[in-house]
Amino acid sequence: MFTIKKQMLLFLSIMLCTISIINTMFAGHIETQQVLTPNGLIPIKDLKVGDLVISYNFNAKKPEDLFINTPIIKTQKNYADALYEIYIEDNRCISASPQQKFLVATQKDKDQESLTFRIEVIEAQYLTHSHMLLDSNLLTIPITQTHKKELYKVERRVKKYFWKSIKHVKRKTIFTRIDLYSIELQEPHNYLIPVFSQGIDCKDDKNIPLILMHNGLPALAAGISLAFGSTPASLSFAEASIAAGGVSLLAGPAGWAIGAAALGSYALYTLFDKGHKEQLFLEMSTDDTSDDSSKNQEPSEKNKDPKGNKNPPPPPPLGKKDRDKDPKYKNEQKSKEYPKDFKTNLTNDGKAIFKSEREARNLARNKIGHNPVDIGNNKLRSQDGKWQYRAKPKDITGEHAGGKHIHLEELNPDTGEVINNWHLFWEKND
Amino acid sequence: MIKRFIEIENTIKFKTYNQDEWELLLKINRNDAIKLLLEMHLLEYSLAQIVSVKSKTTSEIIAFSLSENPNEKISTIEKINNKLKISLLFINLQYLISFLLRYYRDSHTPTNHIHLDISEKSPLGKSGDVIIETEDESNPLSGEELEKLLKNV
Repeated sequence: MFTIKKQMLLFLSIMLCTISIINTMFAGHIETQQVLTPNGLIPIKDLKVGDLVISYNFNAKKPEDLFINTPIIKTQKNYADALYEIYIEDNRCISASPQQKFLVATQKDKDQESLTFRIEVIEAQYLTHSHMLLDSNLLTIPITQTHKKELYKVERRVKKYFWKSIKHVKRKTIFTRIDLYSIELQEPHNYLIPVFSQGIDCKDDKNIPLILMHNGLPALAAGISLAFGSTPASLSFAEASIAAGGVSLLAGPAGWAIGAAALGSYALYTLFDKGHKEQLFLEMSTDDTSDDSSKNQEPSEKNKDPKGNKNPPPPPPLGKKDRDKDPKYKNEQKSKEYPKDFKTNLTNDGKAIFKSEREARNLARNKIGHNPVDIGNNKLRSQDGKWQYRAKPKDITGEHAGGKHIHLEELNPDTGEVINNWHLFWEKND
Repeated sequence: MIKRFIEIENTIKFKTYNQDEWELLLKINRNDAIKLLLEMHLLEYSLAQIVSVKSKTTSEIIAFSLSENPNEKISTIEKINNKLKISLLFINLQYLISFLLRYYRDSHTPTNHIHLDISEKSPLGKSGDVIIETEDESNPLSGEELEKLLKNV
């Protein structure tokens, strides 16, 4: 049987393990990270409860409602012993804790409709090349590299001398933890951060992208984090809890109490984990039937972008297939009939080569605008019927015509006649 | 009925990717384009009814004709052995002629290929392409140039 002293030691060690896991589960940014607010860019460490930040409103019905001011409901400071560095083009880098959640776009079907994306919330530690970050116009920004920066495991050899002879050698681990700051917002739970280029002075840095982030404050209840995802850390926690439960059977009444607490926390973790995966997967959907959208929207005077423009640019046609499932959108599409496109002897063909696939697609998306209509045969038509995106899988894979390309066509919206047919090629893969 | 036959220096390739996907590629150089252009004009003026095009290097034959069905809204294709019969709508024929005329006039084309619109109800499969590819294309625009060009359109 364990003595009281041993049981206390066991209890303390379990608590320390739990605290350590909770700390490493913390989502947040480093103190210098700026956040877009109605008053401009402000370092995250200076933000307080009640301050407003600018969020992207996925439920917006009008372009002027796309950006809303959202109040901060909670701030938290913690520390991490590892950081993830997410690199995008132009040597731009975001540093965030492994659990910081990013809103990312992934292609729904790589072989078929390449303009259709779904939006997911993914933690920094799971980001890969296949994910694309989203900027303030919901344009995709490919990730070029991710790097885990360990802030501990710095080992130093300590030699102690006793009368000029080596007495013993010790290995010491130095923990260089870094402060992290996190904010929790009201719906729609997202905010925008600028990503500066490394090696360029901020004054000379142009076209700074604003990246969409999901607020990442974990909900803590009774000292047990319920915000675990299906992460290795959370699994370790679950396993540790089960092990603690097992140990308690041997450790007498005090051990039973510890074991019961550990198993209880595991049960809670399991219960909340079921819904967690659903929370982490946000399909891009403009659910107009939701009444919540109106609650989230601020008065229109407040819906200005930082430069004061009242009408920020419309977002691209993301999540097209999801909208198709929405009965309201179906009706909208049925009510609009577009003439069939056709080329004539007056059709101009043209070609342009872009630096990357992303640039080519961005131009196409900007032209076909918000809520394009899928008219079949791998074609998407803009709402006004003036622009058409066309790309078959073989165009995108580059199996013909000497390279990967998509088509952007300018049409006569009344007749469907193709006026210009632009072939948009790109040099490198994103 | 007048049937014409020409042989081109470049290639004709027919590829099937799976049950529903196929691609017919007619690759031409400027000499081929001139020959093809004249034959297409014969079809346009109903001075010929079928123009068969064969490659010197590959076995496939394309037989172009003008669609006679006035209710037809899109060009069609069918394959009999190595022969691919394309029944073109007048408007598609004009588009092809226009592309070939530009090639003849400028010695190059604004883009290296065009797609001819073909019915999805083709017996060859749902998703198919008829592609005319040229050897000579003009210098393409850069992405930035095109963005500027389309900025106010």
